Amino acid sequence: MEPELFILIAMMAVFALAVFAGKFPIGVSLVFAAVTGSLLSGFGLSLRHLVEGSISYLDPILIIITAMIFMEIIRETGALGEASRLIVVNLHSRPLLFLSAVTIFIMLPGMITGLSTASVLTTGAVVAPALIVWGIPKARTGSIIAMAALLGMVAPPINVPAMIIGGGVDMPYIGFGLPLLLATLPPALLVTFLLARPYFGRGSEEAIRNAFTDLPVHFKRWRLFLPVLILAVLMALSRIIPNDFTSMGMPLIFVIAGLSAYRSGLPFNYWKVIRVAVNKALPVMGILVGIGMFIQIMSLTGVRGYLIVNIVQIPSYWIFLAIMVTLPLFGAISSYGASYVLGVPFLLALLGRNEIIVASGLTLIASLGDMMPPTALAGIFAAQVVGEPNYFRILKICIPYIILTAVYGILIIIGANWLAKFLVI
Amino acid sequence: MLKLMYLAITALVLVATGCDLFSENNWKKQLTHLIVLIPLILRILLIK
Repeated sequence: MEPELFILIAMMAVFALAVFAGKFPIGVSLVFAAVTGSLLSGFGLSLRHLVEGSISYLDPILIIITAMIFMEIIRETGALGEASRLIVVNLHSRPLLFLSAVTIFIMLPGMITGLSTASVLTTGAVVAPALIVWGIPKARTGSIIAMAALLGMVAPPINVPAMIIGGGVDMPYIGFGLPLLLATLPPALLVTFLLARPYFGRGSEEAIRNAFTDLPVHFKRWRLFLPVLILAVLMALSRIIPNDFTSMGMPLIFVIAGLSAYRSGLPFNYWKVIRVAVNKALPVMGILVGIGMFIQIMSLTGVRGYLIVNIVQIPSYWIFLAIMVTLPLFGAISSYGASYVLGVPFLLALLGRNEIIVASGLTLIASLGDMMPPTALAGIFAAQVVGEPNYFRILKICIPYIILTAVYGILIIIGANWLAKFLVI
Repeated sequence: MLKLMYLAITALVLVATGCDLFSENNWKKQLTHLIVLIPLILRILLIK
């Protein structure tokens, strides 16, 4: 057996043991696997590489935590609840508009934070009662929330797997907006419509109105939503007038938007909100640090090169099948991990096709890992949010849509060069 | 100016993560806190 393959198997085995038998968090398990790889390859502990790897994804870490703080703030002020109420009260009688608005609303936190769990636990939790009262059964509501959340995670402006893949091939995270929008919005809307279609108009008008009464305290709506507007404007300015407005970076934009929420709605304590956000984001921050170390050791030991060389040699059309199967399955451990360990070699194997479009398609498929057991972050949290005790009922409903999304991702990759003419500026 | 602001943001996340570390009772989860603290501390120490 080639030494690189042996090291890779050993690293994966230690990782799986730590996750499944040791019940360690995924981030910590990745560190154990990295240390094992380093020791087995004769480099000793290689502390320098572990530390260097740990800092690789500091920027995405800061984006995720500041975005999470912002989401917590607008949840505390009541802006999220009010947005949900406005959608339900004004649109519930028009199914297509209602479901479109609900889908985009669920996706929003995922789009901003790059985390599917942020969508499920914030907007997903807020709209779940509305969808149930509207007539959609619990398990289907959970499926809608889970699928919209994981597609929200891929949607622009923040797509962490794309940043991870980009980091692996020295490709800046620029120009992904339109490709990611095409990769996520059509399947998100289609999946919601297909899941909700049999239940159009089942809920009673009165029940919906009773479930969504006005906020207990009335605030000026413009003030309540001002932080979101500030966020959107600051994000847009650096793209609209890049010469006059240098980008401040996403973390600072989130902090400014979060500070502007002071006294915009219901009172909240900034420190408590920050503590809650850190607690929620910590597992993902840990995964990013762990992935950084894992990758650094993979590069040090030659395992990364071994993987790339072998994946590049896969015959052309088999590679699409490999992408469809391996990316979501590996994503069961971590869709971020799948993006790097497999996403980067797949991207390199598909050189010649537009890299931005290919990476968009790959991240779409990798994100499906968030529905795969045993971790199934999006699915399990969605089951909790709707009060469905058996997560597998949600998975069973989602399977055709997961396959549909994976096929869509492959079609995007196949048509990358053609799509690039319209989508990559 | 921008660097100072990012230093402040990183320090805030560092303090919040540190506080969360001490309020966490599960030692396995505390390990996650510790590995997250490494890049945050390094970032603050290495900022020029």
